[in-house]
Amino acid sequence: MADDYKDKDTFLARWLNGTLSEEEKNSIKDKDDFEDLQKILSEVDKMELPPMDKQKSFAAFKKAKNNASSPPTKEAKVRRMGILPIAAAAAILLLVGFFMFKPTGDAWVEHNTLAHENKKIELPDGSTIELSHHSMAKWNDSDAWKKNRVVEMEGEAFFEVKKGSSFQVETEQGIVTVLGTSFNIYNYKDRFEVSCYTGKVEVKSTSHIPVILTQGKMTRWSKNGFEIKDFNADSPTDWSENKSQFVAVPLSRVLEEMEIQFEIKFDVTSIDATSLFTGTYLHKNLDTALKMVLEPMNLTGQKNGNIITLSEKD
Amino acid sequence: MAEPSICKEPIFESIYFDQAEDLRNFLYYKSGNLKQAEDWVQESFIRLWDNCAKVNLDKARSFLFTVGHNLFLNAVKHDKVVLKFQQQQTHKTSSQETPEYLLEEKEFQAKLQKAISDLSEPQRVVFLMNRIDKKTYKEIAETLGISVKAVEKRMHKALLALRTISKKI
Repeated sequence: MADDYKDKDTFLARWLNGTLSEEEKNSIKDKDDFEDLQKILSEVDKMELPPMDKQKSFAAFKKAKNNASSPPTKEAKVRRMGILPIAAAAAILLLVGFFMFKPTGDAWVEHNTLAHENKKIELPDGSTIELSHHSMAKWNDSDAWKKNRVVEMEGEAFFEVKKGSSFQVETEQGIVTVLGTSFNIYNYKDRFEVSCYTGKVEVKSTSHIPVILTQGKMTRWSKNGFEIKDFNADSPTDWSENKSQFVAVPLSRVLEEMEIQFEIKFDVTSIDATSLFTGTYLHKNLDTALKMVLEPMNLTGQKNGNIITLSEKD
Repeated sequence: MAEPSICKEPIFESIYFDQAEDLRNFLYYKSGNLKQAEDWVQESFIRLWDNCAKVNLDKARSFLFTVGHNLFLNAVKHDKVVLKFQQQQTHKTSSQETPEYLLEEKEFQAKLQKAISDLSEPQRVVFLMNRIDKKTYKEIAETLGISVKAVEKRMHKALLALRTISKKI
């Protein structure tokens, strides 16, 4: 039939596939030809290529990708893949807002706190993290973690680190490497502050050269710049005592912290929020806190739902 | 429903795990150079990543294979393609085989590998994707962007060519 003729050039393929018509099957005269083919095919079935180590290959791909990338712009940062750092002093990704690439599935442990919540967490090596409100800390709880201790955090947390292998805390605004033992990190919004209570801490971020802090020194990064200041490292962190203390700090900084703490917003258009504030406020109650901050500054506040409009007292 | 963006790392990683080995094999069948095939795989995925915002999940495979194929086309061609495959270990008791038999078998395997290398590239790729990667004609057609009929024709020619080596023994 005409059809068979046309399909002659696919005959063997369809024989192999088992899709020959009955007629075609019967037309096979010389079985030997097909026996030879069978032998060849069974030999081919034994052939194989080396299996691909996909994990390894994907890791190599990430490396190649990052080498090929140009320095990230604000747009590019969204698509950049992060590489977990392997040593404190080694080349570290210095990006504002880098992506951490999580291994698929497995042992990541994450802790989060809400408003009015402090939480103390213990790490596998006995180090502790005390999380302030609205904060997060996480790490990969595998056996390998103790050899290269990396924790990611957001918000504010106080770390007490046991002596041992390299200990690093990664935040969106910078990386803190522990050379000593206890320190506080403030990482909300655009402010990034690290205070060293004991030992030594190295702080890296894209906005300044790396800095080493010793006991009683803190760094403060903000949009305006960077400074190292002294602070009283004898007193425990205030927020773990449910109060916040400030010494000659711009009012805007105080208000910002209250905004996060109490989940409110301040309208500061009619006041000078750069004037310096020295004092304390307690966390437990918004009205008390407002009184403790506004009165010394000769200010008053008008509440409107969640928004408090500030103005000068007559 | 909006397509999930492949620019998301977990999705991209799963594409890698699904496609990288097939792509590597495909490029090896074309070039006979495993190391080069692996480099092309990485390059193809880099290009996919760079274009991730423009490529839907269901188009990722054909994007990768197209890029890989183009990398192959642009490369310097060596005259002869020589493919080598490992033999799976078959557990036959050696008492059943005479040394002559084993030698004949080895020679046959070598002859066969050479015959496969000598196939034209279109035939070779289709044949190996079917026999080694275990892809159906339909899957091969989709991957290469040709019709099933075209796949069958190439397969038929490959089998014709290979059938002749038995006669030579």
